[in-house]
Amino acid sequence: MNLFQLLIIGFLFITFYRLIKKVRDRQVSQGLFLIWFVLWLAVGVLVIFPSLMSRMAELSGIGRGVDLAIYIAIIILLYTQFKLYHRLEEQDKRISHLVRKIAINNAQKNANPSRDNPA
Amino acid sequence: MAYELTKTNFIRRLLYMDQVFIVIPAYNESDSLKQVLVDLLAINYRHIVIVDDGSSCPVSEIIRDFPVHIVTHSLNLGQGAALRTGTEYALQNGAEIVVHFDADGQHRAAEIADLVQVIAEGYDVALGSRFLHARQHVPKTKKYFILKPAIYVNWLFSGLKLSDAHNGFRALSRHAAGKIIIEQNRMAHGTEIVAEIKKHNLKFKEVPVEIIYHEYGQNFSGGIKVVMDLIKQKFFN
Repeated sequence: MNLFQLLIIGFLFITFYRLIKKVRDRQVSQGLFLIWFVLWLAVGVLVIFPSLMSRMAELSGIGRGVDLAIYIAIIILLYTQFKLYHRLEEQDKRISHLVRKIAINNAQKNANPSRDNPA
Repeated sequence: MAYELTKTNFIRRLLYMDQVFIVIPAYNESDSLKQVLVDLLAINYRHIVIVDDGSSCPVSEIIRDFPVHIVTHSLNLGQGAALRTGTEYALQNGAEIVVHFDADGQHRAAEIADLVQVIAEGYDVALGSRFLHARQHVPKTKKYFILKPAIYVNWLFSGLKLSDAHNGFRALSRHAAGKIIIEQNRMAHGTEIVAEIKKHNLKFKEVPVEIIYHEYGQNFSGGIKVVMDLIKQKFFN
């Protein structure tokens, strides 16, 4: 086992620890926990048995294991990026809605311009 | 457009005053806004809605003595959102005609009557156009690098070709104001409103108005931003 593999495995242990802690504290839903768990587990297996990656690459017709890993990584990153973008956009809309609603409610409360009832 | 003050027109105009709501988005404007209010109140418009779009110095303090409605966003959302808020507020308070007006003094208060007149004639929307105005002087670079291209961008996204795509001076009937929903918080709402006009099949007319240039207004990078916002909305929403 080389240094790179050891580093990654060490990193994975930390990640698992944090993931489990988060799901216990209910900061992460169980469904999301499962997805991340499987994802990181797959990374661990492939790091320990790199030949598996090459086999998969051959089967899928891509050739090199590293290439396959990079492709998958890019796809996952793009997907999460897209989801995040949408989330933010959605949040923006909600905040706008809230700000506008509060503004109108407050204005309605003191809606009489002083011309109508001179103070 | 010369507004003929015949007797019937005059009476009609008095009736409008109570039903016309003038919505003015304001973000960190003070001196120009005061002047705008003085002009509007001189013509006796009774319902002026200032939407303070999260200004660092609250508008309500600056214009405390003016008899106007003030609606305050606690965060800065952008001109589109401010117009939406103001319009909604106006409708809730019984507006029959909603006029969108600028806080920086580039629109002429006297021309509101021209737009209102068009709505009274039965149109849903009256859109101000500086290019229909005979005496209008538009800075050349602004005309050919921003306003003219904007007409085509506008046409591309909304399907309507207007003589002046980005004029913020407009009047809406109650019906139209209820239909037109501005989703674009920032500056792309101009095109969005036109797209909504087409979508809901609203009857509209362009009205010559004069724009008073104080400074450059929307610059080129602002224009690019508008296009990006429009593309984002078209493809991601």
